[in-house]
Amino acid sequence: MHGTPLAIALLVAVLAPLAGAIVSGLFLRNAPKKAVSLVSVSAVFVSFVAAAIAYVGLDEGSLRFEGYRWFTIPLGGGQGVPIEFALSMDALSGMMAVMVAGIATLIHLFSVGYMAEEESYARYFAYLNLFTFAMQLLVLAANLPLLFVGWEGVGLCSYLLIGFWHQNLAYEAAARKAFIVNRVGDVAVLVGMFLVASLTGTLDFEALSQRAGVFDVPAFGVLGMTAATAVSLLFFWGATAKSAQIPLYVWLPDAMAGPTPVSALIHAATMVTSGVYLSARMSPIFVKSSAALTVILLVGAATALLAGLVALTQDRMKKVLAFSTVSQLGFMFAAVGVGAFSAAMFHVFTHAFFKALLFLGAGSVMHAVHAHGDAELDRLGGLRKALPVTSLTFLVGALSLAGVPLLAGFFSKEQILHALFGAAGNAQLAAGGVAVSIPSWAATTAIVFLALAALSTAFYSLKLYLRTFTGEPRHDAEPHEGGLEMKLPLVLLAVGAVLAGYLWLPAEGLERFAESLRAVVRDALPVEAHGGALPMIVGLGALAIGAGLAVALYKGKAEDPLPAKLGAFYRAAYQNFGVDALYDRLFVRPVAAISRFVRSFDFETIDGLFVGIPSGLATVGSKAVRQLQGSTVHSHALGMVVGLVLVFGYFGYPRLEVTIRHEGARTVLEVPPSFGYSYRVDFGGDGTYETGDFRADLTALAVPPSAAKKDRVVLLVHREPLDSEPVEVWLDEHPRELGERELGADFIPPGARGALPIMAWIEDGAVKLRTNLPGDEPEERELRPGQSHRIGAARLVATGVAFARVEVKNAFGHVTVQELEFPFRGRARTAVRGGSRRIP
Amino acid sequence: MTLPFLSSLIGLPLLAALALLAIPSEKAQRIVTGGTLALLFAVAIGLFVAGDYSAATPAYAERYAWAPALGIDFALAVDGVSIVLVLLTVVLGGLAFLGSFGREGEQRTHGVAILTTVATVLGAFMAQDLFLFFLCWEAMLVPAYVLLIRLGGDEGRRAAMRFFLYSLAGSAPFLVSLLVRVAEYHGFTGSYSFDPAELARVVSPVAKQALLFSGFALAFAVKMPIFPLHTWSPGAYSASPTSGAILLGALLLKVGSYGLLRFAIPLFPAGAQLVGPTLAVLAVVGILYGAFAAQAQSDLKKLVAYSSLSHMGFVGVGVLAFSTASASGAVLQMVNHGVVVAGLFLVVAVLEARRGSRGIDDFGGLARSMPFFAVAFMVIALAGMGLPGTNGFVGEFLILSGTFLADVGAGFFGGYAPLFASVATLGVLFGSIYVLRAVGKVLFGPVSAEGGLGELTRAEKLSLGSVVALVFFIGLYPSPLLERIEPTVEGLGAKTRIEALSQLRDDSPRLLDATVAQNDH
Repeated sequence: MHGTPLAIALLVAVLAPLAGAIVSGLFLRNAPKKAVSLVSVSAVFVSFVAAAIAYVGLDEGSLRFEGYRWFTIPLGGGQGVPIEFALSMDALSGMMAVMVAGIATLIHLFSVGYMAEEESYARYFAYLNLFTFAMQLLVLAANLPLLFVGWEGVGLCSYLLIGFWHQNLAYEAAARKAFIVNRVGDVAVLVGMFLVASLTGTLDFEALSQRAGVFDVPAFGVLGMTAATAVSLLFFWGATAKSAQIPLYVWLPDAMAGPTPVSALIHAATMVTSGVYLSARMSPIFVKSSAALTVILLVGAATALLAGLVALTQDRMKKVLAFSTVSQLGFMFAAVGVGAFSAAMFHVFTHAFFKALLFLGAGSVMHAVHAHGDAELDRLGGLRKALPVTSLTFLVGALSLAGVPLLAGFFSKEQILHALFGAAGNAQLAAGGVAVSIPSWAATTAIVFLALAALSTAFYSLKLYLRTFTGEPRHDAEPHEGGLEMKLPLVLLAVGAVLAGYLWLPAEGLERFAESLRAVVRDALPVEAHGGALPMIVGLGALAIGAGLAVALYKGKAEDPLPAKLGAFYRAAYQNFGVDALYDRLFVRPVAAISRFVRSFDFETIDGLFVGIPSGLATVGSKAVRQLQGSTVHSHALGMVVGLVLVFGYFGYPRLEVTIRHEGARTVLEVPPSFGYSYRVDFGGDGTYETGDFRADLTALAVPPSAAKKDRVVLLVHREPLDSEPVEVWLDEHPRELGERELGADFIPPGARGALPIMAWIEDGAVKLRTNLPGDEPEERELRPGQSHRIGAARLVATGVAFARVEVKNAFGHVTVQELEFPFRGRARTAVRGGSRRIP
Repeated sequence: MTLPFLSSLIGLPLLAALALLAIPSEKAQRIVTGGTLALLFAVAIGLFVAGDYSAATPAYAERYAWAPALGIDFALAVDGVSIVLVLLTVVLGGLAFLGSFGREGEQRTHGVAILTTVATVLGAFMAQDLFLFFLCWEAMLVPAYVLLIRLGGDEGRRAAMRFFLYSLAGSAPFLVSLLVRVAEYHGFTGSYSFDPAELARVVSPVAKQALLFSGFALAFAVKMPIFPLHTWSPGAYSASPTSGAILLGALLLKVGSYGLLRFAIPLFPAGAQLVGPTLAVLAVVGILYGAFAAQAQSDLKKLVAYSSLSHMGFVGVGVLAFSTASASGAVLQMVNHGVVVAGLFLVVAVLEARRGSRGIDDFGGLARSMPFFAVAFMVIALAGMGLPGTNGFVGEFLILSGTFLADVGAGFFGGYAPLFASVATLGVLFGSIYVLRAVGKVLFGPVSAEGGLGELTRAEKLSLGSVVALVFFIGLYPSPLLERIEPTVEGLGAKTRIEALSQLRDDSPRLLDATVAQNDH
């Protein structure tokens, strides 16, 4: 191992949080919470100090820590692409590393208070430490594969933390969605790496920036793209997943299922900006493709606008902030799209402060009113008095996000607008001698999009503040501030949200930030002095209109007037313009359908082909052998036995697989069609087959009302809004307690925590519910099939139970029977109650 | 004078298996089995550490005349690829042994099956004589077959039948192809030989080579398995006891991919060049097909079977791309796959031992009650989906990058190599879908049963712990393995690629000079 003492600091910055994670995860599971807090907060703080020391000592150039050779991609003849375990720091990664560890320290500290009541305290901090390790590795990696370790590592930690309260299956589903969407991007990053390695023979960043000249050669065979375009678009594709851009942004809003400090750290300040970091890191290649930059510009600007509009309509604090994050990341990519990498990184930097602040503020509010999962704006209001620190710091964050002059967000947003106006004005930009030409229509479109996005930013920032902290309280909690460990991070982040912008001003002594960064990234134009005062006018105009509208609409109002005013547009935007539903149809369901098809194809067709034919051949073959050699009873018998056993023993009975699916109000029974199979179905078990005799063309049947069993009812629990499928609760006449498992972790209305039990049973063909919420009289309620009742976030629906007897017959006349009971509206599943049996 | 270490690797476990038949006490049987495996491990590690694997030639070799009239020798040799797989075999034998704990009254069956499997598979990995290889190839099926029949119940008997049929369908063409090649050799030289280096000297017309290659490849493809020859595996795994599943699913498959790399391609280079791309397309199809099929399984062992199809697809692509990087990655991935699949079977065994079920839907929320188990399952699952930092990543990365970078002139896929690699990379995405589904259902969500399932036994802790250690060790520091694999693969590959090109230009039947083809000691 080589490296100056300063380079060792890089290793410390990366490994300290890993050590923290191992200690708290493996050895402090049952230790006092104080010990866990001490270990994990100090591990991250050590990382911060080490990163800061290295950054301060980073004299213009770069630092490098050489570890060991991880592996080599051998190319034959002793040649190869070496991949080292090596860390490096320059102005770009230095800034990121210090910022990541700094904010992580504050958020760890905040978590000490926020998660104080949590059972799995050590697990939480182990994950959070592990995340910091992966993020530092991502930032400080000296080559692409090592960066990829961090890249997937942060994804894994994100998965673990979104699903932290995994008893709630909806949260687990949100975590899974985040991971899988990110993997869609990772495929592109992998292919991008292969392409870079094949063109340049290296994956090391330093060597890569020296060999970027390879990408000047325009000819490249894939779809008429240049090599630079292909590489840039592949990495950008990866970035759209990690940094939540169109079309892969859908996971980030769902990721709010995780604890709020996690949202602040991972899903606002650090991980989601790593796509921007990767773009800046690859800027020597990106600037060689105007085509790729144009795509990035348009995607970034469109994302900024789309998410900005959705954020306007959200009615929960964290959802507003989540879409706001997507929108602000769009701003950053718009800057990348005109080659203004340093402006993009500037916004990454300021955004980290004010967005982490806003999330922690939201966390502080949720802590104060005991909201779980998210805080609904309709149940907040008037919190300013009770939460002075939170409300003041939140206001600072909101104003910084809105872009109020002299606060951090203002400076970085202005720089992005400047860069865009510069690109719109000049057809030709230059980056280190390379001509970059962004079509002026694209730049102009992007400016319009960003101006509108800035307007909505100002609107929702103010709306969020006004609806949360001013007006009459719309809740019955007795809110109180958290302890010092929660207030201190808020205050420090608020200071950052004010001052972070000044670090970048071209003033004496501050060159390091802006200037040394520009020495690393390959900006396509000088960031200053483009477009005169116009960018400033646009920015301030958007702020004035957006903020003015928000104040006019929300000042002193208890109800949100926006749904009424915007009508259908509001509903569309509230539903994320139907994108989630669309993706469900385009990707999720097809993948599930293909999987089901492959499974049945595998055991009917492929297996039939490769087992059925050989066994048939064995029979025929044994005959042939007998004729050739003269009859030997032995070979004949063997062949016959093998053949018969296989043909009749294995294929004799048809396989039956019934799927129950729900389409809106219709319940559909499906069976897979297969050669020689015919089906008949008896609904309701009355002995009459609704389908008539066996039919070969049967695949899907709507379940008729006559299938209902008179004495059976099932309770469906819709845990909105996270669950897409209701949970089935099968009841009988014995009262049964419904708890967290059935109703979800956040079912209890605010102010009624710890309230139990809710009993449910069946009486006279209806569901009886007895609720016992504090303050109210015990209440008994009867739900007949079709009726529903709401408890907290859960909607309970009683529904009838259908009975079906499905029979399948094959060409040999063998029949397999299955009897099923399933609710009329419920989760899709093969509800086997009774199992299948065979009738010869 | 060195001791006959290589022969002892085969002889010891066979002797120990015989001894087991005579030992009545279960405890003594266990000690003998475990002790033999420990001894084998010591010998394998010794060979691994002490040997010089920096050149393509074998570090150790033994040769005894067996049937001189037919040119059959009892010839064993260990080079960089063999030693890595030898070590893998012994380790998997150990894991299968640990997986057989807690099954009363079956210790002898398990012990004999494990030791004989280990002996025959070691023989296959070290054989320098194709007759010996064929013998081991056939013999290694018997123990797994016996385990299925004796301990698998009705389902096991059915699975054993199709396993047998598939193997037969593959082995017959393999034997015919081999004998044809031996006859060709006899035609040129007037003598017989089963030495692969000798047989590789024969040049046959390309069309004939393609046929002979297909004969070899069919046998190997069934075993690996390559789509669509895989349908024996889900039933066979799910009916096998844990030890049998590990032997079958983690170990025996590797002999298939090894045979492809070591014998099929070098013996018929031009034929491989012709048929290889088709086989590679099937391997890529298998990657995606296996991932989709795994997604829809509810039986965990069947899920492992289809994920195995998917992972062995990567190995197939790596071998068939036949660049140094891709084939080295493929050998490393054989090791990784063995470790991970064994780990997954052990995970399933833990669940099955406690609940008597392998259904995904029968479990939930185990992360709460079984934290150690949860971490182990998670790590193994992540390795299965190739998360960087785990062993799966290095193997997949080398295979895919090696395929992507495969030299256009010499590679088997011509200009399509990047396309092959890119499509195969999609497996990384679809692989994560079914893995996360299984992990999510079993570990997370509401707790499924009243009360926990109880923490792990010592044997379970030891076996899962060593799998986890291997996952990280190979993932973070694969050099000890790669340093040994690469020179061998490069030696094998460079020669074969040149031969492939020259034989495609001129396929007139002839016998090459011994010095060109012979890499013998």
